[in-house]
Amino acid sequence: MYRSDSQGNARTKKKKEKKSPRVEKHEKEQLDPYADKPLSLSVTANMEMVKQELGESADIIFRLLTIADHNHTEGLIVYVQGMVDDERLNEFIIQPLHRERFPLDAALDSQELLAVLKADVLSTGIVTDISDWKLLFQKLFMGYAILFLEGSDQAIAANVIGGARRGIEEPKTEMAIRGPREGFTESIRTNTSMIRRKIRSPKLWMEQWTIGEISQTPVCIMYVKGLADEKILMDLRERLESIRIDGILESGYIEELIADQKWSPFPTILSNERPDAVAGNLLEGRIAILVDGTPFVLVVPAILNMFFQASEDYYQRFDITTFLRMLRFVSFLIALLMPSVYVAIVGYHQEMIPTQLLLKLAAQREGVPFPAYLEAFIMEFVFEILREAVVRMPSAAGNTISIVGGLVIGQSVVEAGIVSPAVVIVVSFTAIASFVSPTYSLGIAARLLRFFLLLAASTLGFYGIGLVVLLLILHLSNIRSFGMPYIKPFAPFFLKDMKDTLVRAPLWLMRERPQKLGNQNKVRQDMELEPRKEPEQ
Amino acid sequence: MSRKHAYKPQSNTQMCLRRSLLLLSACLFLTLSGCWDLRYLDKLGVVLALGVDDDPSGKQKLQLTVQVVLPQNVAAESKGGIGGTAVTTFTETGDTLFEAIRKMSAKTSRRLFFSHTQMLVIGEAMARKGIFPLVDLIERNPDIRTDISVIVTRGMKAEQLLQLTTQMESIPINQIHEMIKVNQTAYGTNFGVKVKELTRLSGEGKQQAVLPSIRIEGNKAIGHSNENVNSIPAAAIPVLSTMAVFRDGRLVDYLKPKESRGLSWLHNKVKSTVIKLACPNSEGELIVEIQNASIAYKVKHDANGLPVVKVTVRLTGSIQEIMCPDVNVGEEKVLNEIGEMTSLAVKDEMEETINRLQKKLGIDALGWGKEIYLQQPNSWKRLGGEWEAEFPSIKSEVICNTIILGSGIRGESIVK
Repeated sequence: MYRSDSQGNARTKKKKEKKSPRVEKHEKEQLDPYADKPLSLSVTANMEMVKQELGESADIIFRLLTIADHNHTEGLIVYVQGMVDDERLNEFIIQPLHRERFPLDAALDSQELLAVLKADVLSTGIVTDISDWKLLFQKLFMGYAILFLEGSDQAIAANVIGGARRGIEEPKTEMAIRGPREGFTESIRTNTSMIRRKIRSPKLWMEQWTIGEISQTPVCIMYVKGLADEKILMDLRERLESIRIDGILESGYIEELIADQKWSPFPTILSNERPDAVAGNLLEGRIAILVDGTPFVLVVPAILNMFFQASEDYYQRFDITTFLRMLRFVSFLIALLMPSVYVAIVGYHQEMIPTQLLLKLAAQREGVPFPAYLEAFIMEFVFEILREAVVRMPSAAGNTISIVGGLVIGQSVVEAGIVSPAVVIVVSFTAIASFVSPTYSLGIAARLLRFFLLLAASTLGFYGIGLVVLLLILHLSNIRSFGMPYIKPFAPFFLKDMKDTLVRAPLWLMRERPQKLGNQNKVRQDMELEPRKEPEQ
Repeated sequence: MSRKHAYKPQSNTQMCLRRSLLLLSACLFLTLSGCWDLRYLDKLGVVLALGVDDDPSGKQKLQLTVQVVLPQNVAAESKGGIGGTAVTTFTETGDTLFEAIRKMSAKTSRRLFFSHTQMLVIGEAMARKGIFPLVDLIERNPDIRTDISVIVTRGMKAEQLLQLTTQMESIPINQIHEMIKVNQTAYGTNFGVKVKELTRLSGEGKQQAVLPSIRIEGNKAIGHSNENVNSIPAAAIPVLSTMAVFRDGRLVDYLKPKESRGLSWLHNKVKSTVIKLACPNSEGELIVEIQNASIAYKVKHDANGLPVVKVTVRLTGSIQEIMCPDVNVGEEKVLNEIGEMTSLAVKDEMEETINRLQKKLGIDALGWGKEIYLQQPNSWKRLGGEWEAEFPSIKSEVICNTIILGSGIRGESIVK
C-alpha cells in the first residue's frame, strides 16, 4: 500500500549505513560483559556475581534458603525489593520451598531438582528457565524472583511482579461526558488487559519487545489479526526493531523515533489515554503500541481526521456529533487563523470590515503605543507564558496564576491603554478555541503554527496568510503515516470514508471499515441494522 | 520495487542546488505581492462622505469637503463620557477631486482613507454644472467603493450638509444614508442611487440621471455645533426632499412629491408605501398600505410601427385606516372596489410623472430608451439617433392591478 514497503526498506538501509563505529562499540560495551557468560554452579559465586554487577545496590535482596524436601540443598532467591509482591513471594515461593511436605528423591541432581521445583512446587503463573546473565537481569528488573540452586548453572525466574503502581483512574487528558471512565495506567499489563476486556477475540494479537538498552522497557503492539494490514505491521516491526537508544521513558520517545515525518508540527501518530478509543481504532484495522510506564498508548497509522474524533462521538447521537465535529473543525481554524486575520484586517485590509466595526476597532486602537501586529505578538506570547505556567505550577498555585493572568494582566493592560481590548478579545477567543481540539497534540501544532501565520499576516496581510495556508496544505498532502496519506479521505478522495469525517454518519450506515486499511474484510456490519420501516397497514 | 529503482540517489551538490532553487522560487512569492501597503489603523482618517461644491472664489472648478470620523470621540460617547463631535470636516479647492484630496494633506494629521466612504454629496450649484466629472475618480480608483450613494443638496452647499450635527445617529452621514433607505422602504418619495448606477447610464439607451435631494430644515446657523443636538428638538435637521432630474449630467429641476413617488413606482423602487383615498360614498379618507409592488415593461408596436411602452404594475396591499362610516370591509366586493381605487390613484401618480418628464421636461429619466433598445432593437436603431427629440412622442400605457388582502384586525370603522 502506497509507499510503506519501499520506505521501510530504505529506512533501515539508511540507518545501517549511517551507524558510526562509535555507536557499534557503545553497544558492545553495554551488552558484552554478561551476554554469553554462563551462570556459575555455586550459589555463592552467583551471589557474588550479582552483587558485583549491580554494585551491591541496596534494593537487591538475597534470600539464602534450603530446600526442605531435598536434603536441605542450598538455594538462593534474588529479587528487587519494591518490584515484587512480598505476599506472593512468601506464599507461593518461599513457603513451598521451606515446607516439608513429601520428600523428594535425594538422588535428583540439582538440574533435575530445578525442573521438579518448577513443575511441582513453585505455584506462580509464570516460571521461566534462565541460563544466561542477560536474561536473568532482564527478568530480575521486571519484578521476577530468581531462584538459584547449589550445583546448577541454571536458574528459575518466577513471576511475582507487584509493588505499588497507580490504579485505574479517569483519564486526565481526554474527558468524556458519556463513555467509560477508565483510563490507561503506567503498567503495560494493566493496559493490555484493559484492551483485552474491550475486544475479547482470539484475533486480538500481541507482540512484545524490550526496547532501550539501559532502560529495558517493555513495548508491545496489539492488533486484530485479519484486520490490520500486514505490510504496515511488517513496517512497524522493522521500525521498532531498529531503535537503538539508552532508554524509553515514555511513548513519546517511540513516537518520535518511528514517525514518518521528522520535520512536521503535525502528529502522524495518535497518542491516546482511553482504552475505548484504542479498541475502536483496533477494530478499524489500526495498530496500537503500548509502552510500559506511561498511560499514553500510540495508534498507527494516524491521519489528520482522527485528531478531530473523540471516542464520545460514537456514543452520542450522530446528528449532535456531526454538529460537534464541525464545531471542532471551525475551532481549529479559529485557533489557527484568528489572530493573523485580525492583524491582516487592521494592518492591511481595513476596507473589508463593516464601517461600524472599523470605527469601533479604530476607537480602540486610539492611543495604543504599539502597532497591531506587535500587540498581537505580545499578547499571544503572554498567553503562551500563562498557559505554560499554569501547566507547570503546583495545582495549589494554579488559581493564583489565573487571577494574576486574567484579571491583573488582562484588565489592567487594557485600562492602561497599552493594549487594545480587541486584541485581548481575539487572543482569549483563540485560546478557548484551541482547547476544543479533542487531542492535545493537534492543539499544540496549531499553537505553534499560529505564530508563523501571525508573522506572515503582519508582513504580507491576507496574501501572506494565503501563502502560509497554501504551504500548510501542500505539506499536509505530502505527509504520510505508515504509508497512509495524512489527509486521506479528502486527498486522495474516498467517498465512502466521508461517513466519519466532518460528519458522523449513523452507525447503521457505517457498513465498511476505512478504505485502504487492511484491504481484506471490508464489511463490518450487516445491512439488517438499518432501522426497519413501519409495516404498511 | 520498481519505485525504489526509479529513485536515483542524488549527489550532495545536486541536492543543495535543488534546495536553493526551491528556496529562491519561494522567495519570489514575496515579490508577487503587488500591494505592500501596511497602514496603521490609528494613522488613518476614515472619510465617511465626500461633498463637492462649486468653488466660491471661482478660481478653481470645485471645492471638496470631506467628513472624517474621529474614532476617539466615537469611543468616548459609547463609554458615556463627554467627547467632542464624532466627525469633523476639511475643505479644499481644486480643479479635480483627486487634486483637492491630495492638497488636503496640508490640513490633516492622518492619511485620508476612502474605502469606507458611504456618500457622495453634490451641492446644487455643482450639480447644475455637471456631475459626471465627479464620478470618474470613484469608478477608477480601487480604494473607493462604487456602491456609495449619491445625493444632491437642495438650496444649499454640500459643505453645509456635511457640517450639520444629527441627533439620531452620532455620525451625521449615517443619518442621511439611513434616511434614504428608510424613506425608500416606507414611503417611496426618494430612492437611493449609487455611483455605479450613474456610470452605467453612459451605455445604450440614453437614460438620464435622477438623484435624491436633501435640504436642511430649521436654523442653519447653529446646525453645525453641538448645541444643535443638545436641544429637543434639534434646531436644524436634514430632511429628504424629492428626486432631482438631470439632463446629460446637469441638474434641471426637482420633481413634485407626487411625481417623485411616481418616479419610484416607475423605477420599481417602491417596497412599501401608503396611498390616501377618498371614501367611496362619503366624506373622509381611507388609507391603503402597499406591501408589495412589482413593475414590468413591455414594448409593443402600434399601427404605425411606433413603439408603445406598456407598463404593468401589480400591487398587493391592505387597508390600514378607515375614516369612512359606511365602508363594510367584510365584503369582498368592497375590497375589490378599494383595490380599483388604489390602482387608479397609483396610475394617476405614474401618469403625472410620465407627463412631466415626457411633455414638460423632455428627459428620459425612466429608462424607456433602454427598454426599447432591449426589446425592440430595430426600433431603437431608427429612433436612437434622435432620442431626445423622439422621446416626448413615445406613447405609453399604464395598467395597474391591486389586490387588497385585508383590513387589519378590526372590521368596520370607529368613525360614525
